[in-house]
Amino acid sequence: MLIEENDEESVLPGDVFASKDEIVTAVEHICGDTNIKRRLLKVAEFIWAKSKLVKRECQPEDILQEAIEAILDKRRKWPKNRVDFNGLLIGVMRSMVSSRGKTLAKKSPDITMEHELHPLGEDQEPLNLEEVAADRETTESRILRKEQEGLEESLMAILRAKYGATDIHGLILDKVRDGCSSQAEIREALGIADSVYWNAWKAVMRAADKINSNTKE
Amino acid sequence: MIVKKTSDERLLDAELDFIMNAPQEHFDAYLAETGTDIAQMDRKAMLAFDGALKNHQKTNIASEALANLTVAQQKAVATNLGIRRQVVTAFREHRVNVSSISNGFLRRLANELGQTTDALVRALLGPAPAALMGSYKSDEKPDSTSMRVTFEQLLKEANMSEEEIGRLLHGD
Repeated sequence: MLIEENDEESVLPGDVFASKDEIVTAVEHICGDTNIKRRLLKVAEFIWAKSKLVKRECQPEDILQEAIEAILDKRRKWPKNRVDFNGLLIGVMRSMVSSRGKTLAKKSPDITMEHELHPLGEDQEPLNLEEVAADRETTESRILRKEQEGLEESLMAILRAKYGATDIHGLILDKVRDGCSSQAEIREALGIADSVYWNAWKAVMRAADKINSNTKE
Repeated sequence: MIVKKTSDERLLDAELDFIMNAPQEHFDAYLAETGTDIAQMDRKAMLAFDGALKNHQKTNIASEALANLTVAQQKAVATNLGIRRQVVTAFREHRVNVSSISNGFLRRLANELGQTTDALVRALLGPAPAALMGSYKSDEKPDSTSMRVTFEQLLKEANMSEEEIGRLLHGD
């Protein structure tokens, strides 16, 4: 399952990297915190669920373990001036699932059905050669696009369709669609009471959980 | 270059932010409402952390086993594997693109070092021990993936014959 990744691109000038001892201390600190471990495993579940191909290969706890190993082995650097350890771990898990999904997509058999090569229009006429030739999408990008489209459909669209136009849950999702990506941003944009906000989010998370588990292979 | 996130990616950001930062009572209630088996969850999380620490120890041991080879041992390893000593040096300095090495060769090298293949692979994927990199300037250390060479390239640079290279690349 291990793949070579180059994380040089994520290095910025002035970055201060954690030492081996600092990394081991951070890992051991989390080991003693049951609550953070639970939260990180839940994070791993959500990240893992984003790639159908990765879901076939491993479990969320494997993703968590491999991310910890990558940081401990210094295959992934920790710029401690920019990110805390939990944030780094989450970033590494996301990057690993994304890279592995792409690697697995490349290994998928390159099968094109005849009707896909020569799609028929409404008049049952084959598309002209210029149109077919103009399709410059590679097999890899097609697989990735289709997977992405499938996920978009199964997550944001399906999730949003569950709620009415003025439901607080739907309004939360609308804010995400409009550009908000943190709890603070969404809360500020909605301006609603704490208890109402968190209760609505719990419901959204339950629904997301259900979608994630329903799409298991 | 700043890449605009899709709504799906922003949704994941918000979901992860909820998981990591929601007030404890709300996070606990969410787990309870989803019927999470907390004991099983704690066991899986513990195994992930313990497993990572154990594997890291094995990785360190494999990395040290490679780095600490004496000249005589390097010669013996090179002879037993049918390679030149400079190839062994490249492995000690983690200068080889790991995905370009055949499983058979990795297994034989791991055997020579008395390590598991998994531990050797993890070691080779990481940076070489600092002591081995003393002669390089700080920004030229060959520990980045982009500076590594393929196994085939390494064997060619060591002037090994096509027949030897073919055997090392494709043999069990």
